[in-house]
Amino acid sequence: MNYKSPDDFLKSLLEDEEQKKIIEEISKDKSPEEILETIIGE
Amino acid sequence: MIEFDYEIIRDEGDEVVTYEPDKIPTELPNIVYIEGPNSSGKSTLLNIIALGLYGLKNDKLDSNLKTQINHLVNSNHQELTFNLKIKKQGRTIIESEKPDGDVSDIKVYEYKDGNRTPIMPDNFQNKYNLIYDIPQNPIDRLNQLIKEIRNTQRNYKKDVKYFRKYLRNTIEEINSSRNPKLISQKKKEIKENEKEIENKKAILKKKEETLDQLEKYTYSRFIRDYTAKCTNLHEQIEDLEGKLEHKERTKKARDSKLGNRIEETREQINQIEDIHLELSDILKSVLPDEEKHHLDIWNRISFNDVIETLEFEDDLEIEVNDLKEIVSKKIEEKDEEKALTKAEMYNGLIDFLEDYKIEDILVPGVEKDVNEFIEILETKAQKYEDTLNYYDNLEKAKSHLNELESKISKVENKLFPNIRNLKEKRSEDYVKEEYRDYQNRLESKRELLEEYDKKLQKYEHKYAKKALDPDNIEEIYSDVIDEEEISSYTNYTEKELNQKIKSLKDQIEDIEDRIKELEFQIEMDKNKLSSLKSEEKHKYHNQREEIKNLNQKAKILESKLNDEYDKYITKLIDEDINIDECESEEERKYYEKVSNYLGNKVGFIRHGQEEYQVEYIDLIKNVIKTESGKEIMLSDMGTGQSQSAYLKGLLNTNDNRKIIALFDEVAMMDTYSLNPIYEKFKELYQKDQLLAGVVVQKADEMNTVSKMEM
Repeated sequence: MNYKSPDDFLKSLLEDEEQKKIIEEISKDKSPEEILETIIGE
Repeated sequence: MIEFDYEIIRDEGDEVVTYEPDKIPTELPNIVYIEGPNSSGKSTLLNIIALGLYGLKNDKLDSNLKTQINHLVNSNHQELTFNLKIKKQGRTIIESEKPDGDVSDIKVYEYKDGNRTPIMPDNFQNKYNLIYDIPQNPIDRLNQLIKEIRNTQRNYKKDVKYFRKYLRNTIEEINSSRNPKLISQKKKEIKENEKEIENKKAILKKKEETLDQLEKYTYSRFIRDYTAKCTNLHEQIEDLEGKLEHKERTKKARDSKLGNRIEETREQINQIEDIHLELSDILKSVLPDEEKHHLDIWNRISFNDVIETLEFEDDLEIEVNDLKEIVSKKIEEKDEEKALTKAEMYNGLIDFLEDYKIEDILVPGVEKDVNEFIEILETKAQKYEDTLNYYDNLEKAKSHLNELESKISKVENKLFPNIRNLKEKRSEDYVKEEYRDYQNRLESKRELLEEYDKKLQKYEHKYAKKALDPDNIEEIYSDVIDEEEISSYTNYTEKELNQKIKSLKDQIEDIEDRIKELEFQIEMDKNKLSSLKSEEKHKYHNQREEIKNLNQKAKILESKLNDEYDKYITKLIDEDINIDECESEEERKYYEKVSNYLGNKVGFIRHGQEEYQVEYIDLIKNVIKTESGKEIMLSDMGTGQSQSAYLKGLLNTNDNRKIIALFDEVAMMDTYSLNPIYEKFKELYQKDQLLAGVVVQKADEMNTVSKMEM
């Protein structure tokens, strides 16, 4: 993976898709409510 | 194009000096190299551009640089005003200004379709990436990239922790919200308990009816029995009193040897009489109807005159023989083993089914539910229990009759002849002994009468408590004995009947207690149900398990960020790693990823005359590995080359924000080292990812060079 930001670096360490998703949503400055909504809604 | 203008009015103690851009052109190409002597305004220009693009609010900017920038606006001895525009292809993209020297506020605008709109710091940083750096010690600055990872990890740890707190709160909210599954479960429990109450009440009713019948039967039966026994005893007492009166008149002394023999005989006769009496009760329960007439004869046998006449009534011997024969015959007919096996089987089945009686299950074959089936089994078990009692009493009767026969034989064949011999030598004492014998018998009969009378009173009291008419005892008895319910109890002895009544009362009390317990439970469940129904259903109710799993994963993530990853990156920063002593494969992989990350960030390096694509930078071994397989020790890299690698690392981002890059004091970098930077600037500019790239260098002469074309 061609990761160039610390965020992407962090995601590259994780194997679990939901853990990656949590990091991804946090990186978008989403609130906990929005993060849960996004993950559960999918 | 970068257009700028500024004015710094500085109080230098002895005079107030105004500084304006006089050496550097106020219009610069978007990619530009500026060199010049100290105090020519190079750093001031970069500081003003950074200040104008919210540099003081940018977390990634080096703190020393921020101090310099801050000095521009927050010093008492100087006032700054400026205007800055960054244009591309003739159109203004961003404008920043500080029109008032007294106020530190900076105004930043974004242009769209020729109209300018204010843009706030957060929004600015989402859209633009200000990079401002002085790459003095490139190895240390690579470490800065590592520290950036640690800061990022720590920030994420806080956010994940906060997210987990939210998840836990959400789970708690779901748990305390309306729960259809729980409501349904509660309804089912109430229904099951109501059904059990219904069943219990039916059983209770039946047992109460049986108890009522059994009490009527028992009390009326024994009032009749003890009344008859008391009447009989009264008659015997009257007879003995008459005989005693007669003997009193004729009493004479008898010799002591005869007296001893009479005493011994009397004791034997008393024992015979006790056995006879006990047999009366037993025989009543074992004799078949066609043999019941023996009971009348048996009860008429008296022992009052035996000592005087020295013989038993003829009926005694006849009846003992007849009854032995009847009882033996009944014993031969018995099938006790089979009854015992069946009784055990039924009781075993009842015990087993007791655990399932609240279930709505039909027993196959009989098509009854468990409660009804238990009732059938209890009736059957009762029948075999009765049979076993019956056999037990038969054995008792046989044993008593044998004992009676043995004792009668002993008295008749040994004691009576002995007394007769002694009587021939009649003495005064004989009369005396006869007199004493009557007295003893009278006393014994009176005691027995007292005992029977007490029992009679007890049964009359119980009978009265049932509000039965004392004048209708015979009627009650004859009615109840015809009841089918009672038929199996007519062979029971007094003790067995009273035990049965007590057992029934205990069972009834247990059932009543259970019903009360169930009613209380139902009341509580209904309250709970009402409370459950009044609650709102949570919007994530159906995702409860999913959220719990997510929380579990977030917990693991938080732990990784807080413990493992933080420990690994700290070791890397502290240069405290021996790769051969890594605690886990995960730790080894972590360092591998860090090396790859640094490689990605730097992208290309120049070493000697060649340019290489970097595969990874290993800060543990301090080596750069290129895609072509070349390994270059960091210590072998020229400082300029290292600086170049570092700056390219800064420019290698993967977001879409437009970059404004400001690099100062690149003194150690020669043309070979700087060219890759300009190449990167141009590449980004052409991709519309770079708005401005300014490289500043110290030199003796002022010189500004466009790097738009090379």
